[in-house]
Formats: sequence, C-alpha cells, structure tokens
Amino acid sequence: MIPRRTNWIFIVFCLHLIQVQSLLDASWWSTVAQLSTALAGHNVKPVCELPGLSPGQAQVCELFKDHMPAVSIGAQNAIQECQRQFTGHRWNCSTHYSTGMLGPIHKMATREAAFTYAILSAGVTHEIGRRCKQGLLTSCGCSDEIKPKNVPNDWSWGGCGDNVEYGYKFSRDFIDIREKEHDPKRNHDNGRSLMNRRNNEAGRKILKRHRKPKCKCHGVSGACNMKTCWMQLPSMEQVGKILRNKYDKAIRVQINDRGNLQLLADETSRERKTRALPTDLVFMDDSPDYCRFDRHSGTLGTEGRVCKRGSTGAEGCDSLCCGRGYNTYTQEIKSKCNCKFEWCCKVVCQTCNNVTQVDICK
Amino acid sequence: MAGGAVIENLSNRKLFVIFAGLLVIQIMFFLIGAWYSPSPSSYMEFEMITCRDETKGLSGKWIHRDNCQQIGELSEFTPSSFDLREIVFVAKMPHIRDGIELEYSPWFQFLLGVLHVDVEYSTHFKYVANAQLELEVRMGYREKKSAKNDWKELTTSNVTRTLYCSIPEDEKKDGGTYDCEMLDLFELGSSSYPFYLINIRIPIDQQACQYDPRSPNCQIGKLTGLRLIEIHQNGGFTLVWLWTKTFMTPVVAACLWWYYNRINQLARNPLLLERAILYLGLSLAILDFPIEWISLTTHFPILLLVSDLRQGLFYTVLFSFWLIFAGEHLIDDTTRNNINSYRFNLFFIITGSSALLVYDLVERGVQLYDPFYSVWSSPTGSQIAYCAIFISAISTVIYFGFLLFKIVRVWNTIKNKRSAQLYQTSENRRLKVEGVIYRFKFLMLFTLLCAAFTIIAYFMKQYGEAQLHGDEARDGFLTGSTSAFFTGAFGMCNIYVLLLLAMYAPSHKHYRGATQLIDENDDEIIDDPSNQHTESNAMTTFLKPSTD
Repeated sequence: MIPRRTNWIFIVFCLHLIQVQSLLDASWWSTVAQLSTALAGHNVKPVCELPGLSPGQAQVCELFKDHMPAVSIGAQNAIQECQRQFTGHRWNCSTHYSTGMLGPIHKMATREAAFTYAILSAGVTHEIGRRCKQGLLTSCGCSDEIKPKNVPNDWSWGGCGDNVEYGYKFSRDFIDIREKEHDPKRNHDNGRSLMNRRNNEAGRKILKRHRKPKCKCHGVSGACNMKTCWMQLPSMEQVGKILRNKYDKAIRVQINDRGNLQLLADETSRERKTRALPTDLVFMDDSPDYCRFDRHSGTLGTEGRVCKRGSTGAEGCDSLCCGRGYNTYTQEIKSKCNCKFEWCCKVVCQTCNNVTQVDICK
Repeated sequence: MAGGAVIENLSNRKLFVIFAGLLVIQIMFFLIGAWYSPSPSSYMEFEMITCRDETKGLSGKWIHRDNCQQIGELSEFTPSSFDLREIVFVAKMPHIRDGIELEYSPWFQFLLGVLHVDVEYSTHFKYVANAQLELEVRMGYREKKSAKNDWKELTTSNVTRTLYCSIPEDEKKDGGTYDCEMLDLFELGSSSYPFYLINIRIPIDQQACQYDPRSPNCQIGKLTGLRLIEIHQNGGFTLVWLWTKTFMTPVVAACLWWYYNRINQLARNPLLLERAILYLGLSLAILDFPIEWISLTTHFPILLLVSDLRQGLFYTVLFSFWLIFAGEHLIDDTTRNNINSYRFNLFFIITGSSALLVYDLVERGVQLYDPFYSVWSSPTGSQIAYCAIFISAISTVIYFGFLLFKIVRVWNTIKNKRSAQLYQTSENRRLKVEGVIYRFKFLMLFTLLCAAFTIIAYFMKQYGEAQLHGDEARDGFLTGSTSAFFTGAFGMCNIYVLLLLAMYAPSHKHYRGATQLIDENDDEIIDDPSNQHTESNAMTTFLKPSTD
C-alpha cells in the first residue's frame, strides 16, 4: 500500500473534476486529504475553494488556514491505517487509481462507510492534537480554569490543559458541519447525515477514551504527595485496531418517522440490542460483495488484486477473486537483505533477488 | 496543688466551643483550596520538532522554530555524516496559545521536564533492553525585553539515561511502537525567565558502536521522536498557598510565644513533653514561614531544596513528638522525662530522615548547578538513592510498629487505672476523672483522625487519578480539588500543633503556686491511699484534680 501513497501526491486533480463530480458527495475526504498538496504547491486555485468542501467547511477552512495541512495529513494517516487494517480483504479501503481519489468512496451507508468516517475523523483529531503539541498551530486553547476576575492571565493562574479537547472540537466543527448543512446542490439524505455524524463522533470518542494517563511524582524527595498526570494519545494504529473490532460489531440502524436513528434487531443474534454506545459504529445498508467494479455503488471490484493461493482466509484466492479464478505470474522481487545497523537513519543493505509466484485475480 | 495542663482545667463547654471553632477553620482551609485555587500543578506537552543543522552545533547557534530547516520524517532523512549531530530536536517553552505568546512566571515556583522517547519497532534498528541514551542538551533562556530570538545560554549538559522500553509480542512488526518509560530531563528550582529553548542532539559514535555495542545511543532502536512534558506549579495555587502561609505564620508565632512564656514562668524546669511541644511548634513556625515571597522578585533556585528541608524537619520533629507523647503517658514506666530513654526509638527517626536528607541533598543540591542532573541516571547514584529510600522506609516501618505498640500500652494502662480506681471513689470524683481521661483520649483520637485524614486524602487522590481514564476527566470533583487536600492538610497540621500548644501549656489557674518537682509530686501521690502507683506528668495531673 505504501508506494501508492506517494503516487497520490502527484495526481493532478483538475483532470478528473468532471468525471468525479458524481462521486464527490461521498468522497469529499479525498479533497481534504489533498489539501496539503494544494497548500504546498504553487497552486493558483485558492485552497478553500476546492471542490468537495461544503460552504460551511470552506468558511472554516478560510478561518483556520494553518489547520488545513494538519487536516490533510490526519486524513492521509487515517486512510493509510484503514488500508493496513483491511489488507487482503475484498474491500481494502483503496480507490481506483484513475479517479485520483485518495480515500474510499461510499455511496451506500454500509459498515465500510461507517468505518471510514470514524477513522478519518479520529485521524484529523489526532493530527490536530499533535500539531498543537508541536507548537505549529497558534490557536490551540488553554484551560478554562475558573480564575478570579482581576487576574489577567489565565495561563499563569491555572495552566493549559490537554489539547485533545481542541482537536476534538475542531474536528467536530470542521467535519460534522457538512452533515448539518442543507446544500441545494446535494440531495439531502437525513438518515445518512445522522449516521455519518454518529460515526464521526464514535471515531473521536474512541480516540479520546483510549488515552492513557501518565503521571510523574514530584513531591519532597520525589515522593508522591505531589503528582501531575497527563494523557497520552493512542497511536493511529491502536485506534485502527479498536475501530476494526467495532466494525465487526457494527450495529444496524434505520431512520424512524420522527427522523431519528433507531436500532434494528439483529437477525443473526437472538438478543435484541436496545442501546448503542456512543462509540459503536452504526450502518444502514448491507454491504455489497465488492467483487465487481460498479460505479453506481462505488465499488472497485477485486480484479487485479494479489491473492494468496490455498489460503482459506479473506486474502485467499477463492474468496478474494469471487470465484472468477486467478492468473499466476512469476515475479522477481528485489529485496534488501543482510542489513547492517547504523542508528536511526541509515542501514547498509545488500540487495537479494527472490523469484516468487504471484497470483492475481482475473 | 500540682500544675495541670490547660486541657484539664477547661470545662467541657469551652472545650466543645474550641473544637467546633477549629472544625470550622479546618473546613475553611479545605474550601479555600477547593474554591479559590486551581489544581496545584499543570503540564504542557511539547512534541519536539526536528531540524537540520549543517554546522552540527559547532557554531554555537541556537536552533529555533524560525531558523529551523524542518525534517519531515526522521527515517527518510539522509544525514551528510554519521554522527547525526546534524539532527536537532527543538522545543520552545511555553507554546503560543490562542494567538498569545505565553510566558513563564516566577509564580510557577519550579519547572520540571520529563522526556518521552518514541521508539518504533524495526527489524533493522533493534532496541536492546536497558540501552543507554546519551543526549547533548542545551538550554537557553530569553528575557521578556530581548529580541525575538536572542537566546542566552542557561546550561549545557551531556545527559545519560537508561531507556526502558517494552513491546507486546504481537506488536513486534515494523511500525509497532514500544512503550517506553519516561525519563527525567531537568528540574529548575525557580522559574525566573519567561521563555526557554531546548536543543537536543543525539550523537552517535560509529566506531565506539562497533567496538562496544553497549556504548551510548548504539542500541536505542528506531527513534521516531521526542516528546517533552514540562510540569510547573500553578500560579493560582502558589498565590493561595502563600497567603495561607503568610496568614498562619503570625498566628503560630504568637501562640508559640505565649506557650514559651507559660513554661518559662513555671517554677520548675519544663518537662520533656513540654519541651517537645515547644520544638514542634518551632518547626511548624519554620515550615509556615512564607520564604517563597522572595522567589517572586529574585532568582532563587535554592527554594525547592529549602522547602524540602523544612518539611523534613517538621516531620522528624512530629514523629519524635508522637513517640515522646506516647512514652510520657506510660504511667508505670519510671524512666520517663528523659530524652535519653528514647534514644533507641529516636535512632530510627534520625536514621530515616538523614537517609532522606542525603538523598535530597544529592539530588536537589546538585541540580542547583546542573538542572539536568539526576541521581538515578548513574548505576552508583541509583544504588545510593535506592539505599537511602530503603533505609528510610525500613526505619519508618519500625518506628510506626513501635509507636503502635506504645500507644496500645498507654491505652491499656489508662483502662486499668480507670477500672481500678473509679469505683472506689465518690461519684463527684469519678465524673471528674472520667472527664480528664476522656479529654486525653480525645486528643489521641484527634491524632488518629489526622492520620486517617491523610490516608483518606491519599486514596481519594488515587481515585481521582482513576477518574482520569474517564471521558470527562476535567469535570471530576476529585481531580479538580487536589488543591483542597493540600490546603486542608496544611490547615490540619497547623490546627493540630496549635491545639497541642494551647492544650498542653501549663494551666494559668494553677501554675503560680506550683513549686513542686516531679519527685515531690510522686510523694504526694503515694500519700494518697487511692494511688498505689507512682505517677507523674500528664497522667498525674489528670488524676490530680480528683484529689481536690
């Protein structure tokens, strides 16, 4: 997956504007993920007028321009993690190369869509929080500690708190805003909006809930009568893992007459779930089989994917190629071997040639 | 007539009023912390940005955000030489927030730095357990008025720490992250400058690594970043704390003066217990003295050490006092009123506190010169530190065991006395004796209550930290009010000692005529047919009014 990521950066997105228009609504994320390229390059186009951003988002973007690289990197990290979690599955979180899209496209309200929205909003929250700690963003907030009115500086009174809160709020304001807007150009689907918002929130909540406190004692002689604790964010990898579990246990919902989400009884398990946790992923539609390229449902199909012969898992050829069979090629892979260690940034390696057989789905 | 302590001559009503008053004051102390003060300390986290410096630090140039040639991904960076001095980890403290450049204030009292090293699992760059990490740290400061990047040198140091990391088995693939223990980086005893800048280099000596893989920085694995956590005391807490101290100092001093006069006006020499209380009061006065005001105007880095020493002194005297307090109430023991008879037990207190003193002097003392020093960083140093802490822990345990033993003995003695005497005497006298013993027990209970409060406060704090796991950590009642525990404990300490000073001072009602020595006193009691044992001091004086 990794080499593909470098390819994305070189993709010029003007080319596919027309072709992509129909897919835009479901894949505005890809726009977001490309923001950093737009900012870094000498792009004539004003950043915040990228297609795909809703009017509200464009406004936020204009106000917080320095946050946009963070949003973009956060989204890219999330997509990368998503692809890592779903390697070898029929749906592997990737998009068709020719569309120039970075992220996956979801036209249907499936489990996969739920996962994607959750991990993307978590990724943005994560990256914003990280940039705050790097001091790259000037607007990260201080604590709202109550202080006497005549004290001028609340920082010297009560210190600065955790910046996950800031990332959380920013991510909510920037990402969820599009689900609240009634854009005349898009056909508004209330159920889908609610579902997206819920899954976005789940991703952020999971990130927040899985912070780990670390503490330092600094009393007399290092005794613990004085102790300061701070929260450590989980890595995107951990978030991905947790979300993957949530994906397996995602809950089916439907929109009821009052316009709220309602849980549906699960056919497979007898017990009826009455309540979904805020960290649970929810979905409405059944997933397609992801076997064939289908523009309508936004699936890419598994044609051309590498599969594993004889494996019974998801990555096995029988499952991955949907019974269409596979071609076998001989491939020579050059890999690094006999590497010698030289601290953080340098390894001296020899190159070895390995001849292997690769199976690719028809 | 024997000179009784104040406690014996107070009516129940007065005693009740005093206790009620003290309880109100105690609650006020607690509320001051809970309402007016923010949490005692807070932190700021810095993810150090990585910059490229072609001069490898030889030019003495400070690397900061504005001249940083930022390296995006460490693992993708190709340095021009192998010692890696080209890579500089930079953090400017504090951050800019809400568009405002924050400043450190002298109100913060101290600054602590903790370093988190992020190590990624890699098959090429293997982390070896207990690898030595050597950092070349430069710390600069900037005054408020100086130009934007006019950094001045505060200290330069080579820091060696041991890196303890662990990784679960299933994470052992490229990209997995180690969970590393944090490292103590620096400790500043005063926060006198508004801005600080830290430049860290992690040099690597290729030859040394080939020669001996255990050399520093050879086995630290694939380092992906450094995170610095800075901890300081909150200005709001300092303010509240300082004012409570400033308010309490004259009260304690006045009380101490009064007590001193009382025992000086005695015709006899002061008893050991009376002297012990005097010293306890004195150490409290020293503890309370708000010397911290100085640090707000001048550079005063020794403060952290001084406040440690003051606290150590107070606890040493308090522990000694408890021992003497219990011992002096052992009625059947004839060797009382002599400090020498306590030397065996006092020895443990002295050993324990001097072990801690040595530790503190080494750790905080050296930090006055080198803020990056840590006893724990060298094997010998950490052995000494462990030793000191072990010795003091053992001494404390033995001490408390012994104290408990003594208290139980006192308790039993009192019980025996009471059952032996009360029913032989008149109703009037019985009531009086009951009352006196009751008051004595009350004070003992007060001590226990104080101890219990301390323990409860400790567990509440633990519980508060457990709440940190929750989603809405900031809203937790207990996490927000640790300041209340600090001011509460401080108030309790003061009230406890003040109460002792007031209650155990020789009573005004009797001392004028009191000329007797302890021996005479004993004689007098032996004359009393109802008394078969020699008694003196507290217990004597307790029982004494009953002979009126």
